[in-house]
Amino acid sequence: MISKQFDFVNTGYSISTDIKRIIGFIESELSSNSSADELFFKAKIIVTELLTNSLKHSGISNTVIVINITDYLLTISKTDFGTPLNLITKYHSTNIKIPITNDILHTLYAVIDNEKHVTFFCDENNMADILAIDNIVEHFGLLIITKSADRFTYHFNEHTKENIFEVAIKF
Amino acid sequence: MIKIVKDTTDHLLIEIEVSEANLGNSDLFKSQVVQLLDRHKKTVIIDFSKVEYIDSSFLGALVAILKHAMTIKQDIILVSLKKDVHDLLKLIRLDKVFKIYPSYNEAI
Repeated sequence: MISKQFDFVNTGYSISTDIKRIIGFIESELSSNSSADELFFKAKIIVTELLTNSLKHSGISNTVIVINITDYLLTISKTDFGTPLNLITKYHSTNIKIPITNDILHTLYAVIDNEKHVTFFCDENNMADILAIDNIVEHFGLLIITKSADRFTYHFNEHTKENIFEVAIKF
Repeated sequence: MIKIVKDTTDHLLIEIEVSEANLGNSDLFKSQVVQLLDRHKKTVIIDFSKVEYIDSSFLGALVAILKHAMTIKQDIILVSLKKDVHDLLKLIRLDKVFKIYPSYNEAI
């Protein structure tokens, strides 16, 4: 397995240099892959959204991105020490499916697998009423990652206080 | 952030002047386009030819602008999207709610 860690300091400035650095590494390792273009597109939007999420939450000063590559799987994980997702703090039942957002295009769900672990997935909705555009959500970060990934999970480590988002893409 | 390229009787053509459409400029973009809609009361055609990549914040701003345009009975049209930008809109199905054309000439 190939593995590399990237440290990202949230200074409030553009993250494009960090994105290019991370995607440059993935491209150098997987350039010969038969579905390289699709893979790089997905990796770029996932890394962009993970880092944008850190920028949005100003309480998060440092973020670590780790890239793991095996023969068939690209894994992108983000670790930070920000406030845990309220899904973890709000719901205490396990194996429950919670709709996070719902509009004419998608329903985005979180499944709380156990007390500190969440898996995201989404359904595409039937656009019965195109005039219901007013109903469309304006927050797309989690949805973009969920739709780009084969698996997207969140885990809160209560001992270390780490938030760990893990995104896997098969190739 | 944006430049008015053409002002006709029924539409405005504006160009986004940055290559990275993201969290750092999405609020400014939204307020500038909303001001144009309110002032001109016309369809706004947005030229994306300079935009290399777009993030969820900017997509959120675009949807907010479309909602505003609809409340004043106007429209938003997107033209000249790079492949990655168009693919991202398709991924989250926004290609079903925005009118998108390969070029300005095909939009009018």
